[in-house]
Amino acid sequence: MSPGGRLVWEYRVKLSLERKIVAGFGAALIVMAAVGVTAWWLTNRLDDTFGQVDHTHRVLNRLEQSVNEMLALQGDIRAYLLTGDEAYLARASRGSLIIRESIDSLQGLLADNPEQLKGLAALAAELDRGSLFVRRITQARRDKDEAALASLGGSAAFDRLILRLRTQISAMENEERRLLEARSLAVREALTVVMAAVVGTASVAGVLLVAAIVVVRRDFALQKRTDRALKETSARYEDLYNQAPCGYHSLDRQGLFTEVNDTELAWLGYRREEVVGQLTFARLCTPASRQKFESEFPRFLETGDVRNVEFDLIRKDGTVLPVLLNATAIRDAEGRVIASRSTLYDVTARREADRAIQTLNQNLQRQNAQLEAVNRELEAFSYSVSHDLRAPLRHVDGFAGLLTRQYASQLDAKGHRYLETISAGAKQMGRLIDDLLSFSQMGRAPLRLSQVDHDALVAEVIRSGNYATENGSIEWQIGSLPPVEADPAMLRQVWTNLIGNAVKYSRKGERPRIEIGGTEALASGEHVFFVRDNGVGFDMKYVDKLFGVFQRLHGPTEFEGTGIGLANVRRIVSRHAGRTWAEGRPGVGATFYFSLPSAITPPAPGDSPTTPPATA
Amino acid sequence: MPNLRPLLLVEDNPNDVELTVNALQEARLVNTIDVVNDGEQALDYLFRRGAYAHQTGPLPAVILLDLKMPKVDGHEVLRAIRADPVLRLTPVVMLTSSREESDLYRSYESGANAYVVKPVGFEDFVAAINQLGFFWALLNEPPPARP
Repeated sequence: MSPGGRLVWEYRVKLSLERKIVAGFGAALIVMAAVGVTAWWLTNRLDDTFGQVDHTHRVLNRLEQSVNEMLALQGDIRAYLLTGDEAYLARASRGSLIIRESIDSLQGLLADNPEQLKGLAALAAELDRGSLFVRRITQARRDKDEAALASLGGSAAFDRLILRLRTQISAMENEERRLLEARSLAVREALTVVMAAVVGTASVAGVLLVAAIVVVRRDFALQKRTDRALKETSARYEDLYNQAPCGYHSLDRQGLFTEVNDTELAWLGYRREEVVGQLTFARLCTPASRQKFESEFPRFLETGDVRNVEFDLIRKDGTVLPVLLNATAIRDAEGRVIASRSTLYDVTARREADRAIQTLNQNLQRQNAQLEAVNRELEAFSYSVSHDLRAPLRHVDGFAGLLTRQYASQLDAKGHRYLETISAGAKQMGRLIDDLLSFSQMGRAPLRLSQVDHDALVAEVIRSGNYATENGSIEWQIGSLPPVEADPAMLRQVWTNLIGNAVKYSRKGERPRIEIGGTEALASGEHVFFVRDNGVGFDMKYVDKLFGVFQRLHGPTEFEGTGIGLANVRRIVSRHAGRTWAEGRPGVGATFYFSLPSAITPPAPGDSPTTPPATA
Repeated sequence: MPNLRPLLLVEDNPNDVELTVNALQEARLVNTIDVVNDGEQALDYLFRRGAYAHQTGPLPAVILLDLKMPKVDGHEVLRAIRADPVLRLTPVVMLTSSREESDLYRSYESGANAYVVKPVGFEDFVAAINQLGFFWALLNEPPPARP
């Protein structure tokens, strides 16, 4: 999963977790509120019911009190009737008042119960009758009117009256007790409902809470895992950032470090807190690099891009660290560059390699200059040789010739021989000088490559050689020669020398035969050419000396020559990136080979273009 | 009618002068052979100045010009001749010991009419000078004095 995707995913998890928590606890809260409201309502109802029970108890109390007062009254009346003591009567009169008050007070208490009110009204009527009876009987006792007492029924009648009253009260009490019972039952039922409601809602709330906790716990576990994964990822990225094999840093618009990785810090020798928010990049630059930074940074703030710019940074210990810097921009919502994101590479090794190459180049240039100087000296030398050395020789031979012509008659045979020797010596030296000059020139002159018609070239060399032999003509066997790319003048020199040699060393033989041939391009990428003769040949143990300057295998009396021809051949062929070699057997003949690359490489360094150097 | 213009030999080495004059004489030319010993004298001769201020007569039929000379060398003399409106058509033959390509190139570039390397061998030398004299004094038609 990409880091971006992971972040989105984390976000979703977080969001749903928050929702779940809110939903779970919200539901629990609503249920609890419902429980509260229910409990409050039920309690109110219970309170009413208790009030009613209390009410009933009060009614019963009054009734009980009335009965007790009535019993006391009954006792007092009896005692009066027996004794006639007015004190009993006074007490009875007070008791009667209390009873009346009790009954009256019940009027309020029983206002909600028409049945009891009816009973109460009956009781009140009975009381009125009782009072009347008491007044009569007490009057009769006071008057000692026995007849009246008798007609009134005496204390027995009074007892009946009391009994009726008590019966009436009992009925009311019973009614009230029935009510009490009903009300108590209602209270119990209400209590059960309240209990059930409380327990029920509490259970629901509990379940909800448990569910919420479970969900939250699960989500927390997920969140924890996610956090751990996030932390691991972030640790990995931080490690990548810090331990990368290149330097990373970020600069704000003022060029101040806002971030830097461990690698770069290690390179620079600073601690993070010394750099971040403390140093500008420019502060770390050498003066030259600072100038570069000051011109590059504003441009970067415009374009948001810097590629491959080299800076020299100063480490904490003062040494210089050369780096290659690339940077991209961090932009705000408006697209304005607010910071840089830079990558640095340590280019010390490359810088050193560059320096080494530079040193090497300088050395090479110096050597080249020295070589050029040597070459110029050599040119001057050979010019001098060509001009100054030839002139005296010409004079030697010239004046010897004049002497021969103009004073021939005055010289004897010996004198003529001396003059001939002088002349021959001068001529040989002239040839030596010419060959040496040619050898030198072949080494120095620039190659002028062109396609050479080999067949025509060789035919022309043979024709211009004007090779006649003492014993008749040479038998020529000339194969077809592939065209090559070469310097025609130099290649002509090669063939002239090789054919000249072949003629020179074979023409004294009986049937001189010279074979010339060449191959098409070989697998090695070269053409091989050869000149074979059936002349005096040579011993292979001297083969190494053949191509050396002034190396001769024959004395000057045997074969004329300067010992430079083959050296020149080798030099020319090797300048064409070819090879030279030879095979021979004394008395049988010799074969000289040379190879030329079929595809010529560009001229070796030092070979200047076709315009010859201007020398004085 | 024989060409009466002289031949001018510009040569610093007296030996060469002697050999060359000898060889020219062998060709039995009727032309006078004027000799100057360096480039400076050659220019004085050609431009009628210095020691040659009072010189009269026609311009040479050919100038045989050595290359390597003290003071003013052959190349400089040649360039001076080619730069002069009167002299510029005069035939100039380089007669030198140098076989150097650069000398050849510069000479032809400056407008030499021929380039002859002095042979070292006496016979060859005499033959070469004879041919030169014969060709330039007799065979070749020099440019007219005025167009």
